[in-house]
Amino acid sequence: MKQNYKVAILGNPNCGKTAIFNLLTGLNQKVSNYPGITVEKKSSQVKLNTTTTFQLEDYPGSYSMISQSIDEDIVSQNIYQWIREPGSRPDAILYVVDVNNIRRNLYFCTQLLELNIPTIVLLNMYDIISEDNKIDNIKLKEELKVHTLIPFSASKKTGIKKLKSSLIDIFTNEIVAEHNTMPISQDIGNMIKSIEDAAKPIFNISGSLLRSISLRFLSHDTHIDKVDINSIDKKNILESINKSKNAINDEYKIILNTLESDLRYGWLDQVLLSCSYKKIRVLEYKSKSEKIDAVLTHQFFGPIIFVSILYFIFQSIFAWASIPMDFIDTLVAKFGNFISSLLNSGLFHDLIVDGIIAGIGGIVIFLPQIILLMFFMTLLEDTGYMTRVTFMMDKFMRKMGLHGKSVLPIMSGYACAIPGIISTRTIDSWKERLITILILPLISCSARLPVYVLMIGAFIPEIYLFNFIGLQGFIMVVMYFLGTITAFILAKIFNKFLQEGSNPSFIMELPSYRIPIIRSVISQVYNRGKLFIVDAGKIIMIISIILWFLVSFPKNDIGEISINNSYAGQIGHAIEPIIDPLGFDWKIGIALITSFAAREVVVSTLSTIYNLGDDGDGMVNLKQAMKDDVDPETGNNIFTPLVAISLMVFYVYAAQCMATFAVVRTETNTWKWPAFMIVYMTVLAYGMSFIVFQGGRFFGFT
Amino acid sequence: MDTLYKLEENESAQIVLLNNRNATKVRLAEMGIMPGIGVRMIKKTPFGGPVHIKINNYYITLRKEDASLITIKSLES
Repeated sequence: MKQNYKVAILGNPNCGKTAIFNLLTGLNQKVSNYPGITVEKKSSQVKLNTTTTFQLEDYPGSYSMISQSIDEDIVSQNIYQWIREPGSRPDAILYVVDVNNIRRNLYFCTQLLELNIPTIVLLNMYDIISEDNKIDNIKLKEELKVHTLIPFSASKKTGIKKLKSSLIDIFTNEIVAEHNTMPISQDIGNMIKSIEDAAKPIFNISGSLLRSISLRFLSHDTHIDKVDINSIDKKNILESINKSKNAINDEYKIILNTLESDLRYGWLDQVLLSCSYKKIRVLEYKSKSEKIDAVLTHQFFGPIIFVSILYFIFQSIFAWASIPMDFIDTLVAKFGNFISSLLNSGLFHDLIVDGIIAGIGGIVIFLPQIILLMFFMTLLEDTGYMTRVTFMMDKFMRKMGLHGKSVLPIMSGYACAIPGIISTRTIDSWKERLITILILPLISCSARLPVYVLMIGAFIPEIYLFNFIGLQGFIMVVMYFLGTITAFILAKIFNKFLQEGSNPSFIMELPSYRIPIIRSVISQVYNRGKLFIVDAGKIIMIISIILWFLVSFPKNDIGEISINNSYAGQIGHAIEPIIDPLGFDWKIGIALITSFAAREVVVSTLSTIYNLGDDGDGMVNLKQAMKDDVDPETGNNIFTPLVAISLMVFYVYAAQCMATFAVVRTETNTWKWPAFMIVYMTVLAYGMSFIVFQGGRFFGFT
Repeated sequence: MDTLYKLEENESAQIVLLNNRNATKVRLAEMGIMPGIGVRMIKKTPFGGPVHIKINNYYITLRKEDASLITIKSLES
């Protein structure tokens, strides 16, 4: 008997697929997120009983084999791989259906049934099925000849037992599936004959699968581009498509593009009608969701509610998150001291304490903010509200050169650009997706916050404008505003000048509102958070070690080092002439360079430079040390309020997070776009800082 | 003939023809938006934004450009 079984979970977007995946796997998921686009998937080992485990693989939601977004491409490419390499096929497919929308949900299912992989259909959300949508389940199972059809509820956890016993049956009895599939008439069979002949040896398939793939190639000839085959095979198929096209009867010509959907829905309707499906619906019937939408997407109340939700989320990120952040800060310092006391002083000690622990601490500190933001985002997504935001904002975002679906990535960007960039995958127009990625790092992420906090705390006086607006808070808001406004302006400019392909159509389902399953939300947040720590952590760790080396060497004869003479110091001195017009000296120069690991590193770098121990209240000491620092030649202060503002503006724009660019590289599949981003952001950072500092001095500020 | 975009909120009609680009036409049909199907306008956003429609028993949003390319006729009484 085989040992390593594989099961794939598939279905339409919004069918509750993720909740079922989370229900079956819990927190024990392996998310391989950042690699090349084709291998993106979530998987997990699931225990069936004492002897059997299987690998469960989650795939992005799709409507059809004819993929129209990156997410759907991943799915259809995987399925074509299953077709061509039978060894790579899963042992079973779990197909998830939103039971209140069974006709549309079964469309993709019937495409998959042609693969004849044993299929279990889960009629999800059966606990909230409306009377109108009830059909004869037993009859449907017989009509499609699927292995099992299970009324299921991820929130009530019903149907799991039957699901498990069905999987055991499929595994142990090595079930071979032979599903009922869409019949194709003689007429159409003749039309696609030459495509079938060309495709047969390439895909090594026959029967209804071959017929339906050939029909797909005929009705949608660009579909062949999505299939990973060599150029000779592709040429053969394209030739056969042209041959078939010439032989098409006129009556089919006008409906050619929708031929597959016409036939498939026609057949599916017959199947469903035989299962007492109610095809005719009263369009006037107002569902609960529709009544909620009357308020939530109302012309006036809709935007007000959205802004209120945003305000609440950001309030919580900045106010609530500070408590665990302070806690983590002290914990990391204590841990560093503890490890420090265990190790003999020396190089290894310094590497561990100053390099690695400090580096990891720098990233863990942002976890509370990122987790809170991810929690709210997942909640908004799982209720179905996020699609309404997309719907309401689409027009405005398009005016700005973006896409309705850019809203979610941009919101994520206030925590961290990386999850934002990944979530652009659902934007099915490449140009708008690229522009969203290009402008995302301008949104002030939480790594900029410590920089703002340090500079504002040290150099912006605690005074009030017009007696009620705190100047410190005001400057903070200005920094966030600056990044956001610039992002929108640049999006508009990029949209004008970029010659990338754009898809003007945008068709999206507005799913019914539903109560999120907390268990599933927590599992998603946990797994995304873990991914962030591991992937961003790796890069930050490596750079931290390099930086530690640069500030710790070369040592002099008695093994001491001053930052002034270190490699980092030498680099700082070397770039001083370049950054002098921005008001920065060589010490800030070092901090700018170390910030390439991550922006927040600037704080620990400045601490190191000013020779301060991390004794818990290092921040206060650092502020004082910065205020006291004077130029040995002129006697002027190195840091002034103007320098602080110039530095903050620099951080708003500067390309300083290598992890972000590494992710952009994998998402765009070229170094061209990350390189472009680094160039434009650097130019912007230098230019804006220059204007602020020189302009400020011109008007007599210091 | 009228287009889907011309429907007022809460008005219903029957889809006659999709004049959209090929790729869009395919996706519309896959989503169940095809000739012969009834459709009700739920919401039109201001300034030529997308529309929110009901097909069968589910809800879909389309941009003005696409809704303007879908021909409709009034429902037979």
